[in-house]
Amino acid sequence: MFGWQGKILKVDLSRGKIETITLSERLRTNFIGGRGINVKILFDELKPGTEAFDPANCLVFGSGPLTGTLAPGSGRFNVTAKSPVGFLGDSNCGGHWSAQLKYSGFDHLVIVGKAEKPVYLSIINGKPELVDAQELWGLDTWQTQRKIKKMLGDSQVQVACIGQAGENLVKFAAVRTGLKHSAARTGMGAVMGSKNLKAIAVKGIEGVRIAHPENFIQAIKKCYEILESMTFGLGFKGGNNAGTYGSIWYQHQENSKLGTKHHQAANWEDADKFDPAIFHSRYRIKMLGCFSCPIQCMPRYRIKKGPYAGLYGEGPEFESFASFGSMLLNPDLDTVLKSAELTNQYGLDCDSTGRVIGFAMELFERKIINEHDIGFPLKWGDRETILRMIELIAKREGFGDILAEGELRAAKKIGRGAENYALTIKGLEFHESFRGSGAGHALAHSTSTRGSDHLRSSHHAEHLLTPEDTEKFYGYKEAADRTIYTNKEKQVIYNEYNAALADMLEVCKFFSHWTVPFNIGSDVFAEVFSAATGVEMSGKDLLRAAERVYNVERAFIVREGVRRKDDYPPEREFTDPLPPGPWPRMPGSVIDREKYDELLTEYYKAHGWDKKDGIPTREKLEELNLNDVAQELQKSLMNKT
Amino acid sequence: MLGVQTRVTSKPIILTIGKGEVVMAKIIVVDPDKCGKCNICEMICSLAGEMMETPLVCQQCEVLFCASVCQKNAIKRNETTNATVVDLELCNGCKVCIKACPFQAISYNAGRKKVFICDHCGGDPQCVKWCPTGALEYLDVTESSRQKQIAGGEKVFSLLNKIR
Repeated sequence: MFGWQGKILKVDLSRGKIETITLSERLRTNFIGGRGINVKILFDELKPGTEAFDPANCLVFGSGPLTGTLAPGSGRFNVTAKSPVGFLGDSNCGGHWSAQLKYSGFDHLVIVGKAEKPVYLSIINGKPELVDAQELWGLDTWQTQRKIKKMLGDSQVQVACIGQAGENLVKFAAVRTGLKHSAARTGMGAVMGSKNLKAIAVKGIEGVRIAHPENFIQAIKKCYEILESMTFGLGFKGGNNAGTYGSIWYQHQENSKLGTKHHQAANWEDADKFDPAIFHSRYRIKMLGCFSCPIQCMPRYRIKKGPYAGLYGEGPEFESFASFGSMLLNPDLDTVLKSAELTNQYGLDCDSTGRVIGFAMELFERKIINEHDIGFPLKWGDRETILRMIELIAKREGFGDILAEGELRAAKKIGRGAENYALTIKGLEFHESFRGSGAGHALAHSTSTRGSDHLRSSHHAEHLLTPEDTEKFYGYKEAADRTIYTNKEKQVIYNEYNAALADMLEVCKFFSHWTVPFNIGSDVFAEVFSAATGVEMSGKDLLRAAERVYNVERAFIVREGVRRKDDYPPEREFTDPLPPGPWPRMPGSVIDREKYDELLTEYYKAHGWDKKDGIPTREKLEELNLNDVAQELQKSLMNKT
Repeated sequence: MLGVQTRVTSKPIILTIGKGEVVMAKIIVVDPDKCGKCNICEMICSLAGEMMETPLVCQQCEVLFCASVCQKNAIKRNETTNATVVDLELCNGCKVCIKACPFQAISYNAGRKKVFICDHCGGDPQCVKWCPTGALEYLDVTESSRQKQIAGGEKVFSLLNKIR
C-alpha cells in the first residue's frame, strides 16, 4: 500500500487487549485520513449519549496518508472522542509524533475501555504493548516524555502524553508532545486521563511508500513554489514577524478580534506592550519546524533577566499572548511566557484556561464571587494570581476545582447570576468576539462542529481580501465587507471544506485555503495525494470528501443533541456593544440578531440541511454516499421523539 | 576523540574527472544553529538514496577510519566526487566501520544488511538542495570550509551525544 500503512491499532484498556485491523478501502477513499477517518470511526463506534469519561468512550488518534513524507507540513495528527464539554471532541496537533506513528506501521489508534492502573502504550518498531505507568502518574508532560525516553533507552522516541490536568480530568486538558505541541481544545487530555492512559510512545523504521515518486516530487515542488510566493509570512526566513504571534498580533488588534478583558472588549490599549519585535529581538534564539515543514514558524526562546531568568521554551503561539495577556489585562510579557510554560507542563489548553480565568476575574469584578470564595482577590492583570490559578486549575485545588469544570459548568456551580457571564458555544469557551470583526466570523465560529472555534472554518476574507479576490474565490464581492451578512455562508462553507481537507490530509492549515485562498488549494493537494497514494483523485473529489466528513460531524453532534440554538454566539454579542474606539465595528458594535437568524438559515440551506435545526437531510447524506449515517441519524431522531 | 583525525588541509583537493575536466572536491557542511529540526534532509535522502538517522553525515575525514578497519576493502574514495563510497558487492554488513567512525555518521540498512555512507548523491547532494534554512552547504574544500565543517560536525556530534 502507498501513503497509508493500511493498519489501525485497536486497544481495549479494560481487557488489556490489543489487535491490528485493516484500514478499509472504504474509509481510505471516502474519508481520506486524519480527522476524516477519526470522526467516521467515532460515529460508528460510539453509542449515542455516551458520557466522555465513560470507559466506553472511543478515543481515536489519526495520522494522514501523507504523514511521514516530504509533503510540506504533513506531520500532524488529530485526537477525537466524545468531549467532556458536551459534543464533538476533536483536536489537531503538530510536532514530530505523527510521523513516528506512521513509521511504527499504523495510521490510526482506536482506544476504548479503562485500564485498572495507569499505563502507557508503547509502539516501538511495530510492536505494540501496554506498559505500567504508575511511576509516571503525577508527572508533568515534560517530565513524562523525558522519563519514557530514558526507560526505553531511546531519545528519538516520540511521546504524546497528558500532564496532571489530564489525570485530574480538567475538562480542557490537552494531549501534548514535545515542549509545546498541543491537541488542545475540547478536553481530549481529560478523556485520556479518564482511561488511565498516561502516554503513547512511538518509533519505527517502516517507511511510507510513495506510488509515483517523480510525480510526487514535482507536486511537492509546486507546493514549495506557492509557499515561497505567499506574503502571509508565517515565519518564513524569521525576522520580527515570525510565527503566528509575529504575523497576526497586530492584525487581530486592528481588526477588533483581540479578546480583551474576557471579551468585554476586542481591542487592547496595551497591545504595544506585546509588540512581537520585543519578543523576537530579546528572547528568540531561532525558529524551528514541525516534521517536514519548510516554513518553521515556531520560536525557541530563553528569558535572560528578571524573575523568570533562565526560562527556556518553544512557541508560544499567538493564542497564548491573547489568552494570558489581553484576555486578562496582563501587560507583562514574561508572565505570559511563564503561563505558557505552566500550561505546557500541566497539559492544559491555553485558550480555555485563559478564558476561564478571565471569567473568574469578571465575576470578581462584578462581585458575584469574592475573596472568601477564592481564598484571595482576583483582580484583572494580577500576575501572581494568574500563575496561581493555572496551578489550582491543573491540580483541581480550591477554587481551581470549580474552574476546571469549564466556564459553563463552573457558572452553574457558582450560581448567583454567574451564568449571565459564561461565554461558550456548544459548551466550549468563547474564542473571539464578532462585534467588531464580522458577520462571517460570527457564522464560522458559531457553527463550528466542535464548538466556539476558529479552526473549523475561517472568515479571513473579511479582513485580508479585496472584493475582486472574494468574487473570484467565493463567488461574490460582499465577502470582503465584514458588515454585510448576505451570502456569508458561501465563504464559511468553502473554508469549512478546505480546513477539513487539511485536517484529513494532516497538512498544516497555514498552507491551505483556510488561511487565504492564494495558498495551496485542493487541486495541488490532489496532485500530491494521488502521486503518494496511487489513488487518483481530483481537487473536486477531495473537497467532496471534505463535505462528506463535515456532514458526518454534523450528524454526530445532532445525534448528541445539537440544534439551532447551539449555533448562536453568546447573548452578549447581540446586546452589549463593544467600547468605542478607532477600530472597525459592526453596525452598532453588535451582531444583528435578525440578520444572523437569516444568515444561519441560508447556511443550513446551502449545506442541504433542514432549515429549522440544520439536521442533515436523508437526501444530502445519501448523495454523499453516507447511507449508513442517514440510517443511524434517523433512528436516533426517532428515538428522541 | 574529535579534531585529532580531521586535520585541516590548506590545499584544496583537485580532481580530474570525465574528459580531463578539473574540479575541486567538495564537502557537505552543517551549521546546527540554522537547523530547524524539520527532518526534510533525512526524508529527501531516503527518497534519493538511503534512510539517514541523524543529521550528521560523513565528514570526509582526511584519514578514512572506516576504510582502514574494513576487512573487505569495501570503502573507498570516489574519484569524481572525493566522497566516501561503500562497494555494496564487497560489504558484508559487519558494522565495524560504524564503530570506527569518529562521528558515528555511518548508517546501517537493515533490509539490505549493508552499511551506507553519504556519497553526496553522486555529486549533487539533495539534502543541501532541500534544506529550507541553508543549514546545509556544499562547499569546495578549503581551509575555511574545513574549519566550518569540523565546527559544525563537532557541535552536532556533541548535541547527539547529549541525547543518545
